[in-house]
Amino acid sequence: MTAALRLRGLVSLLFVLLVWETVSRLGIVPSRYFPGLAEIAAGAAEMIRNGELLAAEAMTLGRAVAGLVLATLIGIALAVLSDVSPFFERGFRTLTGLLQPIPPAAIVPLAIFGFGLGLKLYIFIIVMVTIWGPYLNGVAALRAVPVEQILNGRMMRMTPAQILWHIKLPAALPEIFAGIRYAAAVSLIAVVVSEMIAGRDGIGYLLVRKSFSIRIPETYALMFVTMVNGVLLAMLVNLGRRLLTGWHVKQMGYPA
Amino acid sequence: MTPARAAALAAPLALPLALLALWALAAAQIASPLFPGPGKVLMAAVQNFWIILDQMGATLRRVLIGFVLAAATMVPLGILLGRVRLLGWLFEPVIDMLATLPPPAIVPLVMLFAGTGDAAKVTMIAFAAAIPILINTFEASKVRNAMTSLVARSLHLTRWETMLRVDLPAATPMILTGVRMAVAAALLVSVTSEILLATDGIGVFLQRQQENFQIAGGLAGILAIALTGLAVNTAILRIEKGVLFWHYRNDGQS
Amino acid sequence: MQDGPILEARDLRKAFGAGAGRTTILDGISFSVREGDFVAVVGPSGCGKTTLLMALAGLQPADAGEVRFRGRQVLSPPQGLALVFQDYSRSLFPWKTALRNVTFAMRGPQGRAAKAARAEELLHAVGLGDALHKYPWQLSGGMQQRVAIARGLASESDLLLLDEPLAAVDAQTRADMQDLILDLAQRFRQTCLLVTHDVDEAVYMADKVVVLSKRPTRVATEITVGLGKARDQIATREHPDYLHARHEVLARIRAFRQPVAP
Ligand SMILES: Nc1ncnc2c1ncn2[C@@H]1O[C@H](COP(=O)(O)OP(=O)(O)OP(=O)(O)O)[C@@H](O)[C@H]1O
Ligand SMILES: [Mg+2]
Repeated sequence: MTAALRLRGLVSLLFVLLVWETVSRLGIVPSRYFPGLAEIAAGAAEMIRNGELLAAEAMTLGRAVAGLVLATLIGIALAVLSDVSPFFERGFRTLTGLLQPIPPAAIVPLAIFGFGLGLKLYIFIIVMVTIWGPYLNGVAALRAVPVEQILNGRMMRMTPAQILWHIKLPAALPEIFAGIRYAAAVSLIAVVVSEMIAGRDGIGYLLVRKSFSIRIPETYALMFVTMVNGVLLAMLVNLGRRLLTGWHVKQMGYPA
Repeated sequence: MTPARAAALAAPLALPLALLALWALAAAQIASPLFPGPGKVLMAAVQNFWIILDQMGATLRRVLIGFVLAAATMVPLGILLGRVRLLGWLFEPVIDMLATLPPPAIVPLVMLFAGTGDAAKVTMIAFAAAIPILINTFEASKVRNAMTSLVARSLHLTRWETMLRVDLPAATPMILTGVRMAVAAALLVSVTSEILLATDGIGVFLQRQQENFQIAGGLAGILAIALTGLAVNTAILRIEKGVLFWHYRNDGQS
Repeated sequence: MQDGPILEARDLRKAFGAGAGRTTILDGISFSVREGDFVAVVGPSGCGKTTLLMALAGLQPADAGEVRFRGRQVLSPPQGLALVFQDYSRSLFPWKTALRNVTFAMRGPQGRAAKAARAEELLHAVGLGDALHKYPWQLSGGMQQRVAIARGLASESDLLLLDEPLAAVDAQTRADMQDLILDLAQRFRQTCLLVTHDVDEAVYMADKVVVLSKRPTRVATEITVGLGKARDQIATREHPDYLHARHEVLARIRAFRQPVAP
């Protein structure tokens, strides 16, 4: 990100805060529903002081990251399997069409039976709704590896497994990461919605509890926290992307 | 039918059927009401057919209204932000920020303002659907193809004509991608709001099944959602291909 | 082993497609390469040169006929055979630097440092001493092709197959690269089989030219070029032997008529 872009983000954020504060002060809307920034900050501070915010935040982020990592690994494994066996790919395509549109909220009530209210529940739901990004991108990317690169491996008398590890996966990784970036957003959605419904802990639960007890500044503060979480998760994925496919990040910035 | 043709036809179904058989076998082994087999689920689906249809109808009605509201307001707004440089410059980071907000997180907030009725739910759904439509419309109308702009000018089209007949068609593929994401978000928020603020809808049905330990009925409900989602996605893809035949013919991929 | 040819193709046949759409590409190709030779295979675009190389390398077997490398039948890529692909932009690994692309081809037991040193030497030899740590997409087409050639040499093969390595570079670069390849082949005592669609290039570079016909493809003729190993872009191209060989190739291409099927 260039300095100019950062500056713009800052200007824009200040602009939003200014508009917010003005609206709140002018009293166009009842200030009860539209508290000032100071009040929201105080709400956040209170939640930090009594420890509930950080505890919930650790829960939510931990679940989102764990689920995302597992979903990514499973997605890639399934993509490899699909690449090896067209028969599997064709059959799994049917399942994808059926399972992909199911919203996470719909799975939560029943999944609670199977997995209880602990980490397992969240992992299951995240995996169910996030493997599709890494999987679909992985299948497409593995298929798109230039045949010359694979033949190169064969000329070096590499085994199929070596070709997969040293050639196909590295070649497919940038596109897989595009799928992971999408999956990260979905993973956070899945966690928050599951916490809202399962109702025991985490940011989603806190959000529902605060709003049901009409703690409006806290509700706004928590919504802001979920946005920040989205940014944090995106940054994490980006870090992984730079670490594993730094060459591609550079190439994108390189004038062709 | 030749064996090769039979194999080609079987491929899409073989794996799902094998998994189904595995599931049936496992269910027969475990023999617990908490782990129903596919037969039980099918029976529950038949038993609850009219209820599911009814509740699904309630859900889809709200999804449709919310979605139409979102599309009707956000497409023009997105074009405006994309076209008026200053507005775009100012609001792009705001839009990016809103994009990171998980759509269901607005359910509690809107409830505070609008309560738990139908209007409140439609508002939540509209809000969730609005964001992807706004982002994609904005992004699509920000980039303008230099070549087609030149052509438009050489044809002496007015600004409005250019916008309507050149820029808008060029922006449609991306806008439709936003539409598809919006439908998914709308369905998600709809189900979430129903479970949290129970009145009616497929979410309520799922919740009731859980409360009464009716796992088979719950799975039947999920199956109904899956099939609905599949049908909606297929329909949107159809429409996309119909409206955007030139796009698909141009470069073969979306 | 010293006497027999290092590579031998016998009556290779290959067709693509099925039913009415079936077209014969290779219609019985036979020729051989001796150790130390620089052999050029020349044929018009689309006649099946890449198809032929794939069969020689054991990557895609022919329908009929056989390939022998060092006396053994080739069924899969044998040890000691390397291939430089026609499309360098697709065959280099974009996630590896030039140096890493070259060391990747070294499958021997020598250590990391030894491999890097050798790769550096090869990249210097192809004139890329200052681009060791550049990625392929940071290099021009000609430079990328030189990385691909360095990689081909790095595998220390007994025979290096080159598929139209210069088809996609400009004329000036092309002349320079022809000399570079010849120079490298001599310096590293590399036996080479170069495929090209350019008769001049084939005659200028090779000790022996195998001329292919149009599809269905056969060997129209084989010509030995008596120019010795030292070549020069100006002097060689004016040399009577060069002109004679070139004339011979062109004349035989024209004279070669596909026998009409009975
Ligand atoms: N896998 C394949 N399936 C069907 N046809 C093929 C296949 N591979 C090659 N062909 C056909 O075989 C013919 C020869 O292809 P090949 O790539 O070997 O030609 P070439 O001499 O290398 O051409 P060029 O000079 O353009 O590189 C072409 O007509 C091509 O369309
Ligand atoms: Mg070729």
